[in-house]
Amino acid sequence: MKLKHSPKPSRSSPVVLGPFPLRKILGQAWGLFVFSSFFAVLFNAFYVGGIELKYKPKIYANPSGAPSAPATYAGFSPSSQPTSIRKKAAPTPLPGEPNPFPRLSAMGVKQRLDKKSCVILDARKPEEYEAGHIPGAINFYGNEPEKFAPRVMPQLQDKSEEIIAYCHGGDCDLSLQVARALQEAGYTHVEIFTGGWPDWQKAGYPITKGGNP
Amino acid sequence: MKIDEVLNDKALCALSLFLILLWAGVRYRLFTLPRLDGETAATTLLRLACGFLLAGASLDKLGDAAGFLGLIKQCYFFIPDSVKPLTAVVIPWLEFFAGLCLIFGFRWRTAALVFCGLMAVYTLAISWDVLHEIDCSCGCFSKDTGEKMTGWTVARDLLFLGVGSIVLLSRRTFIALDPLND
Repeated sequence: MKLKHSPKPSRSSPVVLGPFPLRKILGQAWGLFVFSSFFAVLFNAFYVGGIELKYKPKIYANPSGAPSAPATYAGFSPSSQPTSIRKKAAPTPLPGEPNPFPRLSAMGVKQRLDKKSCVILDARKPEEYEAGHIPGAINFYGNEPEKFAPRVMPQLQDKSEEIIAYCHGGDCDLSLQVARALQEAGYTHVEIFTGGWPDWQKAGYPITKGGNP
Repeated sequence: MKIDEVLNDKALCALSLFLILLWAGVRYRLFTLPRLDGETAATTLLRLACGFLLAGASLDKLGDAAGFLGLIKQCYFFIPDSVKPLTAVVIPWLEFFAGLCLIFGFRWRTAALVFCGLMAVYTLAISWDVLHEIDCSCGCFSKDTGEKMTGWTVARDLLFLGVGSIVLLSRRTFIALDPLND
């Protein structure tokens, strides 16, 4: 007796499928999330560009270890508070508070620089500024506005002029401090070059060395 | 040339719309593909598109958590401050692995769920920023492009969400390690 083979399922035969396995997919998604988190934290721990995962409000101090004066923006008057390590004023925008500063890329800054339509402020330390900065940029160290404001402000007569602040890019808040200071002083067109000095160098744009122009 | 310069919001809207229309065309038999299960082929195309978008979006952020953290601080206010560093580290890798899963077709519906979840969160966050006229770049494909978020960005993410939902709800795909995934 010849055995009959069952016919092979054709390519177009319908596949019998169960109900949508939402539970299973949710479980797998959780697994993917846990795996990614574990891998990401491990990578961050060993990667040279890793960041501090534990949140702590920044405290600023001078390189000598002595606490720096707080940034008091309105009128740039130095604080009368006793010296102790103080928290930086408003390090990040509060939830729900709109960030008024437009963000620029290296290309955007270069375009404006070429048109000579803006003033650029370097919010890094003076020694970093002297080691190299964007051509035409003026040093305005974000942690010491009371010291730098009297030097820089007279050069910024037009309060509607476009002003771009930059620092180290990434997690650096110095440019944000300068922008806030200028905004409080009445400047209406302040922007931030978020990539900052690293992005400018990476883009291969011209640089200048030396002190304030 | 950066990826954002080529894949701007309008181009990505057009691409997503094309993919959705292609899928709808074969799904509802407006046209057929010879000797091929049209719906599965279209799903495969959508799956690969989602995978490459997600993996491509993560690449610029993987090695620069500090840059991404800066962007999160500026633009994504709804994330509590204490979780922002962890978010900046985890999200790019989650995007990367989910993108790889979609590309290789391994647990692709799970990855599609992650894709949809991320898109839903991004859409809400970007809509909030656009409505409140907050000037910042979304950091979708690279952390700093200078390109501002607009209504087109919201439309683009909504269309991505549509594409991801089609992949999530489909049952079969070609060129995959898990063709059925059931």
